[in-house]
Amino acid sequence: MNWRLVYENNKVYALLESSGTTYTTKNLLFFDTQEECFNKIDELKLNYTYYSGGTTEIIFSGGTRIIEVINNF
Amino acid sequence: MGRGTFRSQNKVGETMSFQTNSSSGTTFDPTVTFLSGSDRVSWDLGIGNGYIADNTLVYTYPDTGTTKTVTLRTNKLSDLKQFQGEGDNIVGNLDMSGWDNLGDTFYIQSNSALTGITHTASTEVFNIYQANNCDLTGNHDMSMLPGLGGTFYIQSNSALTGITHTASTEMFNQYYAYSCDLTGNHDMSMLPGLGGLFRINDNPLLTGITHTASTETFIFYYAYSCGLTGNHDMSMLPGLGGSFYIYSNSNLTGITHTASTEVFSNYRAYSCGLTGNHDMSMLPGLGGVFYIYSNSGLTSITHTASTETFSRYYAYSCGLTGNHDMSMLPGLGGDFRIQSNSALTSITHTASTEVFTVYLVQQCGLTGNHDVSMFPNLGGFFSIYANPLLTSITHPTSTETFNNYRAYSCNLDYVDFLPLSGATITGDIQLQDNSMSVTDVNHILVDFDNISTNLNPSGWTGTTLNISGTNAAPDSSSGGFDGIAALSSLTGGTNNWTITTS
Repeated sequence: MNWRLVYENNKVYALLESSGTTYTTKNLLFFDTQEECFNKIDELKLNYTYYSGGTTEIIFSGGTRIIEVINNF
Repeated sequence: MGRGTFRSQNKVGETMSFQTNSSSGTTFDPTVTFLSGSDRVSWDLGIGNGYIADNTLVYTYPDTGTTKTVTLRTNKLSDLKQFQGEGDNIVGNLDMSGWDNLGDTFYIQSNSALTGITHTASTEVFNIYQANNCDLTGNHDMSMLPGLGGTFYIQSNSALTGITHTASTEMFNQYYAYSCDLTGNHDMSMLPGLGGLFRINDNPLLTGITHTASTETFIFYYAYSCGLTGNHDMSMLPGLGGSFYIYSNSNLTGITHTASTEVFSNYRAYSCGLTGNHDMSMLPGLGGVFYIYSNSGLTSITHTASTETFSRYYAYSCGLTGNHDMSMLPGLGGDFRIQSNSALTSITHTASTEVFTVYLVQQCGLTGNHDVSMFPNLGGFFSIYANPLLTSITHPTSTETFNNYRAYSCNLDYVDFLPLSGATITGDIQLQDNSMSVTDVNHILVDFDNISTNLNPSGWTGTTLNISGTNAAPDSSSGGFDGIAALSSLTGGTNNWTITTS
């Protein structure tokens, strides 16, 4: 099992943990942890919204990340 | 007759006195109104300059806010009806003894050092009674005012622990007692005209509210963030509707409604202690925003037929058990969340043409097939993962845009995505960890290739798919489907998918 980051230009196409095979024509990087993936997204200044469960999301934009609650009370 | 200042030694008549620390930075402008006629009162402003005769005083003290004793003199206090002293820096208790015809409008709000008001018996009708944003302390006794009604504002008195009412048949169109320190039970059993806008929220020590029967229509009923305990009986309020907020009462175990045909645009009873079944079968106007989430002891909700449109329906993180019957809600749509009900085995929907932007049913106990084929405008964020007994999903024919599709960690076999061929996929599809057979994986890949290559290339190219984990790896023949060829086609330069397989 390892964490994979698939991206192209400034967009993330996939961030997943798997032991399988990833087929893509885009850039593919492997990491030991999810946090390393997040750090790489920051470093590459990629844009991505990662949904962590049903109520929060992490928004990556230009090297920064913001955790937001998506309940919208 | 104009206003004048004079030094009177005539002490006839009656007086009332109160204190103010009004300063040079503001205007001291109390006003009184007589029951009838053109009589006039005089004011001793407490600075040794005699009396000023006027019913509508406007004066600026020259000091920085020392406490002065103001004396109002008139022939008979009982000839006076209205008193307006809002924002006049009144200090301590305002003694209205002798005002036995007080009524109509009483304005005393925004006196931050006013700690009490003493009333005397009056049978006059009140249209407006405002004593909000003061420092009323302890109990506010209004038991001598049987004509109270109209607009009653006493909110934002942080040390006000109680209000004693007497019987009044007047209609209340606004009753605001929020953000005080009301403690224990608030007895409103003597106010049969209650309706309109009712706000008693943010009284954390308020454990109960006793209502009496009222046929008035409620536009707001706010009793949130209190300490309501046990069951809240609203069975005597058939005009309930509009916005009903009773959330964040952690000891509230039930709410008893009676039949109401009013439309609810907001019904919020989340983060309480609701237990067992919540019966809403008498509310056919339910719609809009419905929040009942985070009631861990809530095992079911009984709805009745409603044609209202729901923009949000949140019943997540409860204890919903068995089937949740929503077959009577054809206006369901928008943002639907019922996830994290681990004993919820199924949901019965009826057809709805509303657009769904969020549909979350993950982390439940959904069993067998989950049918959402009755939602032709399903789209947005679709999440059904972690239902370990879920074996299939019946999709609608939808042309909406899906930005996430999560159906991992279930027990899915083949899932037919062809009904979604007209949709647009902007995010990823997660089907990993479903223990799918090679045949099922092959079949799904072949369907995706057909959709992306032939049926709807503009809506499906560039999609990300995870079909790995406990699923079998595809091959070129199982089930009569060539999963390897489909994989190659999808991840090639034309379709440009990113796919992770076992």
